[in-house]
Amino acid sequence: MPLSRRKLLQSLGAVAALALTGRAGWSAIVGRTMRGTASASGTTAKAEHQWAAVIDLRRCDGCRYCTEACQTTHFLPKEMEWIKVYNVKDSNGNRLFMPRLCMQCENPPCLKVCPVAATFKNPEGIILVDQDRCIGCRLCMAACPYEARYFNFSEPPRPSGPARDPMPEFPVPQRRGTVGKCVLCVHYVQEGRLPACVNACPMDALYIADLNTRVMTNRSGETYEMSRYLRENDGFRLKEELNTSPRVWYVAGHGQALDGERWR
Amino acid sequence: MSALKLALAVATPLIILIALVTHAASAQTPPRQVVPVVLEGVLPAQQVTGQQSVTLAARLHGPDGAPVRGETLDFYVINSVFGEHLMKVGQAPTDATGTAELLYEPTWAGEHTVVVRYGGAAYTPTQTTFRINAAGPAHVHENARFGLEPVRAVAPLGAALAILAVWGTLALAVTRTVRGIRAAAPATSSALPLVRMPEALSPAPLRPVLLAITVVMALALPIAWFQAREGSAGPPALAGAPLVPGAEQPGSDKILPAALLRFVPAITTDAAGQLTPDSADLPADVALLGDRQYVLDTNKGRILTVTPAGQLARMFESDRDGETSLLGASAITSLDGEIYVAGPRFGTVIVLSPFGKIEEVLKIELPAAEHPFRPAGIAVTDDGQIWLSDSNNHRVVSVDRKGRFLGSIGKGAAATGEYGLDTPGGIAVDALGNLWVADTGNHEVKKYSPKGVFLAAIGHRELARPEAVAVDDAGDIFVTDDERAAVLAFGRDGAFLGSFGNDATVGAQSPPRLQSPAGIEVKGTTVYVMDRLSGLFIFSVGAASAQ
Amino acid sequence: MVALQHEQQARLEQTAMRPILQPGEFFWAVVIALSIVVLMALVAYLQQLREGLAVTGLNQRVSWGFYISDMVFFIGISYGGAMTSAILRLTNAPWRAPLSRIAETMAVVAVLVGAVFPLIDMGRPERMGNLFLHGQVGSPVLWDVVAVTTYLVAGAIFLYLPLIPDIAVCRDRLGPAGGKLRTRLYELLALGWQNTPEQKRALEWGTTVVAITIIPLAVAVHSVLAFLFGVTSRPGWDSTIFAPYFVLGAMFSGVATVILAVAGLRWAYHLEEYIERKHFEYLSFIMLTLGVAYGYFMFSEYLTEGYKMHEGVGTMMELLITGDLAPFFWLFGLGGLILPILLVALPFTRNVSGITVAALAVVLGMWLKRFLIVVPVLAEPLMPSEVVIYWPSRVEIAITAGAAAAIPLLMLLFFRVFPIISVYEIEEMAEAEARKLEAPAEGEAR
Repeated sequence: MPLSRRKLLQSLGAVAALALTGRAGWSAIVGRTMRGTASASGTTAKAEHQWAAVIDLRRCDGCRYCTEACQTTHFLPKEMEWIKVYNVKDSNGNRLFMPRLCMQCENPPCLKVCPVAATFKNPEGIILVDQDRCIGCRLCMAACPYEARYFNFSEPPRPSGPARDPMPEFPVPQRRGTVGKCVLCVHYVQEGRLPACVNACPMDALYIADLNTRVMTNRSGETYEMSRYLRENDGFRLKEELNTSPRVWYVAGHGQALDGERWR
Repeated sequence: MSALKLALAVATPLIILIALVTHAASAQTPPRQVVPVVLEGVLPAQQVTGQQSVTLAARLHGPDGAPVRGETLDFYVINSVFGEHLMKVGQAPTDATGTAELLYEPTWAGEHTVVVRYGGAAYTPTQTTFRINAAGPAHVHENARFGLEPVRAVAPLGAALAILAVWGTLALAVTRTVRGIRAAAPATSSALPLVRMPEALSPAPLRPVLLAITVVMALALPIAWFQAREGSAGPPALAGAPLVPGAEQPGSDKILPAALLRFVPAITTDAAGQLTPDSADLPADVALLGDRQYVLDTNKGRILTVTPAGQLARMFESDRDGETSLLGASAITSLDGEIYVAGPRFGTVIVLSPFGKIEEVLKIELPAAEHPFRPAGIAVTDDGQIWLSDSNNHRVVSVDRKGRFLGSIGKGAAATGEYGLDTPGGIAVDALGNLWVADTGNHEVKKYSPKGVFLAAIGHRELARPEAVAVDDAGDIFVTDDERAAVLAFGRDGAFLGSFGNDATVGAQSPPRLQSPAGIEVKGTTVYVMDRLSGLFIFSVGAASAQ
Repeated sequence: MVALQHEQQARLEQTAMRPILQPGEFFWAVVIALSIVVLMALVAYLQQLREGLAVTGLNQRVSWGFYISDMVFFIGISYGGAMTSAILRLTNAPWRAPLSRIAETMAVVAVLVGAVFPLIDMGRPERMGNLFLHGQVGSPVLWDVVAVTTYLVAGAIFLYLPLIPDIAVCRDRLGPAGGKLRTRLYELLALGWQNTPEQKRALEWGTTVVAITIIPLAVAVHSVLAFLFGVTSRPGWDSTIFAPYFVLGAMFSGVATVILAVAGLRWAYHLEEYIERKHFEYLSFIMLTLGVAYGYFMFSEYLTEGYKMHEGVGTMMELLITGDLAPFFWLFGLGGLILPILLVALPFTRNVSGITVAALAVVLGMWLKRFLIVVPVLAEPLMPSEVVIYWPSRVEIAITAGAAAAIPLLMLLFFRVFPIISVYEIEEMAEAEARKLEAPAEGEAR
């Protein structure tokens, strides 16, 4: 059935109208849907601080006080180790303990795959999870190369004290059916306090850092200028080849700070 | 007697004495010269702008101006991002003119207070301070790029167009077809003959069998569903398994009647959800002495005692470092009017009086092991033997009252079997001197004779994560289970008597139930449970053996 | 020109429409049995809604298990419809005519069931609306939602359009025996079809357009499902051929499911006159080709990974091929791939029962293969720790069984309303044959 000219013009007009509203609507959609990816690049550089972390493997003794402190602070069940200490044997046969927290990647796979932009980056570079929006699809958990994200399979423990509303910066209590992870205690750090793990490490192995001022400090107040410290101590990042650009640096070692006289 | 002989007689011992003294003196490190040196900061030649590097320099010279060379100077800049700290920028040696130079790139605009320190081996330590001003923009960290930006910009539009095209095509196809069919429908339709249906389909020869199968399935499946046990789902993985309550195991959901006598809250938080300054932080263990209970405040390195009014009072506060530091200690026990705490950092046992005075610090000597010694449990026997569980090295060690090593149980690595332990937690000694070990990784409690001979293993089916164990005079065993958030009671023969402390015994109006029970003690029919996340629970259990 | 003899046509219509009125003695028994299984799945899902995903066997490492395998599997088996109906229609293969209705129905039903699984797997299914309110265009989950929805709609349209003439037949010829509700439905859906040439043209055009659209759409759907895995950096998923690998697997399992559905319904409703051995043979040849192609993709994947044995991939491959999961892998390889290929290739097993057995082996094997793609890769740690075992819980098993039961259930119920064989298409084919026979005769006559 041939299209009459009138019908053709009508269709074209409809298409044009659609395109125009589409274009306007498109910007709105992009603005809203690109919350995650838009905030992930470019707009973060304006904040005063860009948080990061440094971990000195020469000092870690595997005591897991960092894990306990984090779980206490955030009222987490035992299986959710937002900071997890791995017991690793390196290629020379030396045993070392390696804490791993969320790498706060600058090119985060978890953020890119989230279908509802529940995972987003705050202006200071911390990756946060909006547990009021998360649908619990767990694609971010599959995408994270560092296994740093955890899912609340069951109802999380009830926190003691007055009832509070969780927010992405301090996600307590966790919500069942959503994903949670280390937020580098941004709620503390913004006030100038130290993250729970950094504060708890009895070996002073964990440092909190600011990439703008290039300063790093641990709970004993040992403070270094980050660029030089990493250069002199051969700081490295995990899985560098994946180009996630993580913000956690490690100083290689295997418990050198634990000398034979102190520990049996 | 000649004068010479007299002089020799006096001089010889004197010479020998002087020789000895000077020899001894020279054998030590050369004394630090108490020569004060002066450290002067050298201001940079030109004003620092932008983010260029500036040379920090300082000159070390004697009071007469003579340069000191070859000494190391440490350079710091005061930084206040995480509180006021001296940010170490680097070190540099002094050259022939006594000047040490270091390149520094200021990362914030404004005043930088530079502190140069000479910590010196050869001269008295000294430091100097000077200020430099960095004008220009602060350093801003550049985030890594995702890459392929132009493609990322265009891709959503392309995808949207493709999706619109598909939907458009489908819509077009449907509307045109429907309209075409409707438009060409004639006004009237002729009557058509109806389709004749033959007799019903001949029944399949298997009909009765199939019907029977269907009926059986219809009845059996719902029954099977409700009867099936969760245990058929297979073993949950040890690492990272969801909290599968052990109560699904047959018979392990028995409740032992227990009444909560008192709850002493130990953790207090402020409105923002953070611990108040006098709150305990992860108190992991409790000890009984006389009428009082002593709570070990692990993360703050303190011992608190429960007052008759039910409040917690500070009994002992250790300093952070040093041999008597209790920071991180999670094992406390008592015997004969003394409190024993296993100090985690230096391999010591600290003995205190009931009023908090340190009576003794025992240095524990242990055979070398793969990991640092981490005492998770302590128990003291009547004859002065001290048992300590070393959770990092999967063993329980025995030392005498002086700290000398007597023996150990365990294979040094996580193991199963009679003498195999996996992350042992709390330990207890019963009235007969037998040792009970909460073998956390193997989900059971093991019993050993005073000489370390394996006697029994109990609770494997009921325990999920045993943390600590206590034995009463009748021989009943009480075990705190962290994962089940309850206390499990076993008879002398190992039979499971029931659990308490979770929802069933504590009513809806009561204080919070157990969340993370760790240390446990029992006296008579009263059970004291230290919950790391809330406080001290005091239960009264009925005559457990009468069950 | 009526190409079919009157009695031929009458018998065809009779066979096609008998299941509507006289489904047979044990129709109800089977429907009840299947409904019970589906009901138990619903009960299990309610338990999951109440207690959260803790009722599954999932853990922090293996965070995807049965549900995601089921999603990929059930959406995959719907490809049978795209294959047999769309591709064969476009290539004008006449033998597809008696199979097309069953194939198209199965396609829609399978996608419907498969599309529910992402919702079942979600930790917060009530927040599904967030996908539309706050959808992030860069996320494979969103691509998945859009693609599967579009495919579902397209499949439904593709089922409906060729159904219109048959609905008209039902409307006209079933009479009062059809019941008032069904007759009303037929009148509504038949759109006044009276078999006029203009209507036929309109229908042809529409069906062809949708058939052309549905093929790239089907490719896109399973590619998008593959991207769900392919965009991660996990060893085992970090593969460039995942999209065609999945599409081939889907087509393979889809054709096998068509064979199963056709075999089952043919036996139950005595359709032997129209669905002959040759139909099975042709379908099995397609299945054979796809099976060989799938085996080729698998070989390429495992050779390139196994040769290099990179960190992570190496241990995972060992787990799969020689380790704890080896029995399942080889069960799939030998029982689900080699055995069906042999059964079809060897002439003495290439009969209806042999082909049906082969198809069953393929379907079960492909489910196992989906499981082996999803779970071992997650069980293999990315950080230095041990492999974590995953066992499904009874909730997951119940829901999977319910989904597997829902497909035949929905199909049986569908064929209580609509004819099981496409009468119109068979007539079309017969007409085309007749025209072909006439044309040279005319040429000769001139």
